[in-house]
Amino acid sequence: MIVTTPIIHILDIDHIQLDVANIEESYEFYNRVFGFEIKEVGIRAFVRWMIIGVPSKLYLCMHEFSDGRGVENKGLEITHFGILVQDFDNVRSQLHQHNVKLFPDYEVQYRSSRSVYFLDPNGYKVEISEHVGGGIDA
Amino acid sequence: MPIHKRSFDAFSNAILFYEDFGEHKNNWTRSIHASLQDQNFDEVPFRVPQLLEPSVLDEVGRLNGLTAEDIETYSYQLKGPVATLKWLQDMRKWATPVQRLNLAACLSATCRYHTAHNILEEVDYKALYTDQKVAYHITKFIIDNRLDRTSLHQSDFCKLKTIIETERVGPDRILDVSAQAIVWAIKADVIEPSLLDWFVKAGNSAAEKLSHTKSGREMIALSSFYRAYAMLPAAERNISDTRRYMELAEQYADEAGPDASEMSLRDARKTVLESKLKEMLYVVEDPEQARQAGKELISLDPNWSISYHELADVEISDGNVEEALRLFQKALSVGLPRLAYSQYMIGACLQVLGRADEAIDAFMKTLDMDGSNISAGISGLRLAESHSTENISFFKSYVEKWNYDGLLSPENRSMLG
Repeated sequence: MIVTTPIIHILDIDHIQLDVANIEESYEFYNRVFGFEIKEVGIRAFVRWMIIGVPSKLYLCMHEFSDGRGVENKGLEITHFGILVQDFDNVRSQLHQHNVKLFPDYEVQYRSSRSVYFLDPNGYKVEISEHVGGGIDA
Repeated sequence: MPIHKRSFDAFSNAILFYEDFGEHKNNWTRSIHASLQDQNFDEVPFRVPQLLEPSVLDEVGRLNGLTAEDIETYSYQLKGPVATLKWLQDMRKWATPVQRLNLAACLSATCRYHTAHNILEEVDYKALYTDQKVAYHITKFIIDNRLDRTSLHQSDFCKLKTIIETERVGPDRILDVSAQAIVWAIKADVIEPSLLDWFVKAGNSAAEKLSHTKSGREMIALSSFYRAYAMLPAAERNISDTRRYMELAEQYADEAGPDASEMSLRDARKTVLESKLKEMLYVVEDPEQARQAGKELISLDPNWSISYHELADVEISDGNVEEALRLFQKALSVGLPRLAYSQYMIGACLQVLGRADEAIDAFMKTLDMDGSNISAGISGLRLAESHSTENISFFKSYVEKWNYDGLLSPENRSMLG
């Protein structure tokens, strides 16, 4: 008899952990553009951390490492994370109003969804998708 | 912003910036920096080095052109670790209860007791876990103690007893709490006898559970407990029992392994020696052994002024005022803390040695350092009246002001004749 270990059922994404060069700069960006609010702050071993969030949608945990700004990552890394927004059609102009540069500077058309990409103050690439999972399950 | 760069003095830099930099670095300055560098504010207990008296802020202020209030409120240009702490303090509306608790502990390490007290009051006690509640009461006790609110200790230790009785507290923490209860019951009579008995039993039971431990952290807790426990027979001048428990304290401090933090190991060994010095001086009345403990203390941490004071006390008790004078002069040269005390005791020793002019000069210097040192004012005035009339007005101006401000005790007035 083959015994299979049950899979772990995921409910949702919980949070994304980011190393940031300047915690105020990152908070200001995510607050100004997406309305993230400060949820918790603290320190550990001189390192400042801050959790910001849009309640029940997405939380970002940021740890500050000022020496890391501009240092190239030579190993494996998560290259970007994706978010969904209420009004995808207007997101490009809204990003433009917030002086956020697209990267690449055009809207990308995938098989069943569109996406725009931008870089946050730390150079992290963030994708805004038109549909959940890029419409892949549709 | 009165100062914008580090002080030349390591003790000042530890208080002002939580840095270990400058002249006369010592274990305390190292520990202040390490406590913040190595520890996570999400965990308890937050280990702090020896907690000094609030007047340390006045001393550091005088040396650096600041007031104690400037230091307590960070009214100087901040950088490095202290800027990170100040950030947390300013942002504490969003800080978790344990972050606030550890912030209060960390601020008390640099004698910012008023701020620490205010922050501790903001901690949501009901949101704390058991070990955090223990840390809360210990931190509150320490802060109240340094702010002379000793009448509150009984209540905190009652609450600690209830937590230990009703929740799960590790034996090492029970030892830490019991040690504090014993020390303050003996030192200041602020814990009622029945509560003291309870902590003695709880401590002994926890010590038995850990008697074969190999954990460095637990060994340090055992050392701390037995050092405190030895104070009970010491108070009754029971030499053999005092020595028995002090030997256990020494053994656990010496054998504690590297899994304990370097700061805890250093402090455990140092505090055992400090207790041994007092044991030999006041219980055994053996100045030679007290002297050896004092010398060992100094060799462990040669830039710590308080160790010179302690050895000087031994020399005074043994009638060696010349040697005590040399030690107080050495304490003065290594600097803070208790700089004005070093200077005053130089004057007191010179007076005993009959070197009146030098003693008067030392008392004048003491008052230049600390205009509230009544002992220096009275001793200086009496000496000036008999040896150096041109300095009478200097001392008189201080004494008259203290009298006007109602600061002189009946004993002070009787000394003035």
